Amino acid sequence: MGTLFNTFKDAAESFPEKTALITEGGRHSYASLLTQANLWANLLYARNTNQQPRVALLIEDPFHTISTSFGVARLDGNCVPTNPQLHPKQLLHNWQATDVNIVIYEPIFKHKIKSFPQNDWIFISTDEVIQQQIVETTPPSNNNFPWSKQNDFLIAFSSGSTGTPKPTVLSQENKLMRAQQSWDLYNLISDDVVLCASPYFHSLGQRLTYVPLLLGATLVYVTKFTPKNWLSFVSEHQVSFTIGVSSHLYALKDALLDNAEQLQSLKTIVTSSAPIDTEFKREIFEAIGCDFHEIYGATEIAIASNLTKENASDKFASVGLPCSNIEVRILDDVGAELPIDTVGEIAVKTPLIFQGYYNQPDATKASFVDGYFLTGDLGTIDQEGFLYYVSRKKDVIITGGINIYPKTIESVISQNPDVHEVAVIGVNDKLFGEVSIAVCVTTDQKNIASELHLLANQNLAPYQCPLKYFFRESLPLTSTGKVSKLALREEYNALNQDWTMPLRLMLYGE
Amino acid sequence: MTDHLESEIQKFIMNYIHDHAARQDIVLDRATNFVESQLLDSFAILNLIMTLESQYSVRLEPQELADPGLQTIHALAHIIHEKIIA
Repeated sequence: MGTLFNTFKDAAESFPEKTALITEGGRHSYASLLTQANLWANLLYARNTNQQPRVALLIEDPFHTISTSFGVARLDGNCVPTNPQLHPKQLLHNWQATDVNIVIYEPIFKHKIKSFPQNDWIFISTDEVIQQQIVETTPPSNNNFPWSKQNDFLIAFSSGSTGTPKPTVLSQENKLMRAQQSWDLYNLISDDVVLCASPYFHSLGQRLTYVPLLLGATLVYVTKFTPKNWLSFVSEHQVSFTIGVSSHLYALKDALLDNAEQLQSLKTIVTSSAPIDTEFKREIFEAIGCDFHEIYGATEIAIASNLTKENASDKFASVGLPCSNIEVRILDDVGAELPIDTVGEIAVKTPLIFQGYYNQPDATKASFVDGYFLTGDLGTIDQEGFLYYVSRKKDVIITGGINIYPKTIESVISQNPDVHEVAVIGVNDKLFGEVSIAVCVTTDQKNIASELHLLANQNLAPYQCPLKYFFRESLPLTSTGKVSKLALREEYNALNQDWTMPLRLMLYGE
Repeated sequence: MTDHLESEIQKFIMNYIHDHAARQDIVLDRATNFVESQLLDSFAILNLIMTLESQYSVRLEPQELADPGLQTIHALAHIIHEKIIA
């Protein structure tokens, strides 16, 4: 037990003076990160000795987030990384669903939790651990806790295969094996410098945290992504490896092409989280001298396939070949394997598989067929075994690498009494991959967009708010009488007038 | 009357930023640049523009959005006001 913590501890004891973490705020050595992790472990154990610490992290600062996560790992506890942009009621729902008993928060987020019942949970501010340099109560050193067998180190909210958010449980062994997979795929060593520009509550942020820190490498953490920040961090700290979401790579596109001199330290760039268009991919492949990979994966399965630069010119439309020890099949609706070049659901069998959905054994069971995890994505496999992503089967929109669930948004918009029916769909977008819009049925197609914008703003996080509202007399139906989101997507994709252009103009002036 | 409307728009923008900034300890004034200050993430900035366009039935033109001078609370409120009374 404590596998993740012990691996980090070994790295920290091998490289105590080496820089483990670089943030906008400064540098932290392996020794200081380990000390802080132990301080957190002592503090959490002192405050909660009789039960497994189940800790919601309402933290943005990487030093606190990472040291806390290792402190929790030391205690075989559980972390629930949380997006600070969520509304208080969304935080409450997620934490209750995961049986959180401790909330660690940065003081800047105190307003998010001020209305919560103070007696139900233990609230600890990150200031407390700064002020409290020594905690006398220490946990047993043999890592043997009554709850150690629970093996549920981390819970991320993922889509599952049915399109509703599910708490996805990952063990410490999962995180270590997934880090090892990345070390092997990209030949990473302790001399590497890894850049992370994704928040820790995002699964990519977690991956890019543990990949370097379990290896003795250096992590450069960019909390506020801008192309300028990204370039200056890569250049100043000689970054050699990174994985970027497609919206970051889109924003960086020109900068990558114009600043090749500054980027000589980069050995490998990997794209993740959302499919990027093939023409863009081709341009990047041709322009960057470093190794360039595209991967396909999900929180439940980690990386399933990898497209290398060697295969990029012939197979640039694919997401590569299945990784070592991983089997990929394309299945039909009853779970039978489909022939090559036939579209079906991508199913993956992997030793890196998650532990299940928290407190949802039926949903976990329903996600597998013969040991293969049903990703909820549609794809094909060609004659040579390359995997092609086609679209999602499940009702989820991925915008800027973040999953959003139409049902959540539709239930908010339906609160307006003038809305008789609503369908929230994703339309293609070159900045975020997809953006959400709401198609509403109102009497006489009355346009109440301004009211709905305000309603969404009051109840949803900004990334969940529909960008546009449309009004019509009825929604198209499938032959079985369900709303045809496919037909809506086709119709509104055709109407898309580059709706994120305002943002690109404001952020990047183009 | 027109001054009052412009102040209302400013107040609307300030309330939005207060509601959607991840941090609470922020101090806003008319000159606050809501893009450079990184008070709002990119989704929140985009949603602000969409909300304002819908709320005040105006459309911000590409050249206006690309002008860094219009990224302060005052300047944004002013241009929306100009469009309303035009």
